[in-house]
Amino acid sequence: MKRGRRALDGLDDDIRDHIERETQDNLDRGMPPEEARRRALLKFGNVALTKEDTRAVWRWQWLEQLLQDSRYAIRTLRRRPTYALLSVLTLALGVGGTASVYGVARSVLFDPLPFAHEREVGVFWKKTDWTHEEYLYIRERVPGFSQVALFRQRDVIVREGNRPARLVRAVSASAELFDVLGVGTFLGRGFRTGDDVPGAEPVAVLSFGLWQEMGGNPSIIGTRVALDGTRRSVIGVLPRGFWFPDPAVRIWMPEPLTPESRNFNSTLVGRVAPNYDVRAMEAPVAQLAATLGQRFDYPAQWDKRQNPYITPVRDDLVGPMRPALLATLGTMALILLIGCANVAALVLGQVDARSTEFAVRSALGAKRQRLAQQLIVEVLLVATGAGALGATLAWVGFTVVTDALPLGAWAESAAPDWRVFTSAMLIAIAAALLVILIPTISLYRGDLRGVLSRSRTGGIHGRGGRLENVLVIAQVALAVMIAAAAALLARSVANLYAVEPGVRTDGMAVVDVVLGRAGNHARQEQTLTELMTALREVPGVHSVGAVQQLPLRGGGYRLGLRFPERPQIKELATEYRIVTPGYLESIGISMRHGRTIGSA
Amino acid sequence: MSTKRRPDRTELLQGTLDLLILRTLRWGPAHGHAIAKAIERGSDDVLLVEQGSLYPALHRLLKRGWISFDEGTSENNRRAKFYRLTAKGRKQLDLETSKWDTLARAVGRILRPAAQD
Repeated sequence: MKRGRRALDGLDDDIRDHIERETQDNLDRGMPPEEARRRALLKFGNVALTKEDTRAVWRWQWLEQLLQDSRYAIRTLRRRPTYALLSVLTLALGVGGTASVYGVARSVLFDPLPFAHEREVGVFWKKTDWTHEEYLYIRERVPGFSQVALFRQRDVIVREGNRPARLVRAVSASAELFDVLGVGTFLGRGFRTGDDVPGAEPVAVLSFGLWQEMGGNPSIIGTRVALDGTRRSVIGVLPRGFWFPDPAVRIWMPEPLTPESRNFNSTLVGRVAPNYDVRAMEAPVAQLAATLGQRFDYPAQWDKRQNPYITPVRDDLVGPMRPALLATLGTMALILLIGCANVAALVLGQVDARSTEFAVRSALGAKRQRLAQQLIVEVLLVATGAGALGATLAWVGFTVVTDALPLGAWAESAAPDWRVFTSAMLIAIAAALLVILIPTISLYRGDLRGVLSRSRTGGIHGRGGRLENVLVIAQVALAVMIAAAAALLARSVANLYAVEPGVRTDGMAVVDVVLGRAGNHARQEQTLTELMTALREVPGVHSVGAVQQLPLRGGGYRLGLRFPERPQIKELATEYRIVTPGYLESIGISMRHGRTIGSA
Repeated sequence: MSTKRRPDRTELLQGTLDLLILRTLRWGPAHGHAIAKAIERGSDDVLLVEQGSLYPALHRLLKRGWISFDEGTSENNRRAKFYRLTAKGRKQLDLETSKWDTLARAVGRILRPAAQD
């Protein structure tokens, strides 16, 4: 402001001149010189404050004060390195932890799913328990749904060029899948009606990530890739960020649907018809169950007529992770709160230690608001440091969190990004405002003038201890809460380990063997036998066995069981695993009765 | 922070000082000390003007363009700023004066209803 500079130019002279005139007036009235000057000064008031107020008229006052306060705060913090370091570290730990967990939680819980209108998509009850037969029967006539798709997850062996074969998670689905999910392709096309008919040309759709790994060349459309020994044409690449039903799946193939297939291994997912709400599908779904009941004969345990329901796709996919994430987030926030209380106590100590300074400044005309502002700037400075450090911690902590939480395939898709840094900074500032609350109250309540007179006479400060008490109580309360939560957590982990899984994992080694599915059956068996013989020769190896899938590794195939000679035992279905002789001994499964499987 | 209060003097209402300065400058340009004196004398020393507070007020008025100033030499041959009313300031003064009159009348009527009879 040019006008302002001209007006302020010579302000000091103006004021001096003013006081001299007043002094002269007093002299003229016959006062002694000293008294005349004293009276003039008294009448004028606080010269320094007047100057500041006058300059403030022209100025972006807050900005200038902020800079001034920052400079002062930096000097103060430098003079008290322990205090500064302690505060920054305390806050940084809390901020870093909270930000990293928040980063994970946000991407898993709050980011929109990569489907169009995800609220219209729902997963059918009896997950992984539907057959082609059932699906083909109801396919075109599911009440309340515009389209329903069938899918199942499987692993496929990918061979391309000279690179070693690798196992990739894949989804095998009916042609409707991408329409149900409402996703288009980035390149090429998705499935088309007829792709899932047995005998159709084998095709595959790749995830964006897999396509990138394979060179990222658009000419990939139409080329062939060997999946499980079958050469399939690549017909499309899905958009970046698309995943279903978990981020580890990278290949989608049409499932040849055969009406005879009674493998209970698929899941149904559907998009509701217009005017239907996926959260209120009881009536149409009951109707569907009734239709199924008319056509199929279900044993009691596997009765699809019992309790049919639709799970909204978001609940189905991320629901199981929500409690763990929210609990971790809550714990981190508590730790941050404790950190805040600690730093607040430190700042309060500073206010105490510097009460004389504050009192002097107040006597010189500083307003309380200005002193508080000073303190706030100081804490904000500490918080900025803590935020930066916390963001770094969060970056590192992100990996730790994704490893520690039961995120499964989600961990692959979660990556720290700039939002972690932003959230760390915002959390730090929020923490600073929390920290500053109590010291500011104390500043406003305290009797600054009193402090000055007492300190001059060497007295003891007599500030009330109520606020400190509040802090201590809050800290203890929070600490008790965390201790209780930690104890509960330890208890659950202990319980988890206390469950006897029925296998002995000590002294056991696992080799994952991938045998091409399309290969000759006899050759597969031979390979396996040779491998096991070779392993048995290894010094120190006690026993060797093979199994399709390790225990506790989740779903497999189910078989229906009937005991023709024992009609009193009800028909039932159970998961089964194909094993070799030696498997049960190797994994430490003990027999209750009878003998183990022996070699022929 | 104000200095000690004297019971026989009245502190100025917020914004009143601006009005008084404008009113003082109606008689012609004046420098800071003269304005302060004029306000004191004009109010029979009843109004307590901490003379220092005159300066932020003057600069506020300058910023709003209600007054301007010229550099001049005063009677004792020193450089000084002579403040004067601008056309905009004159208009503002009229407006504020009539507002003040209305307010004073209204408050007076409430405080001393009998005096109006």
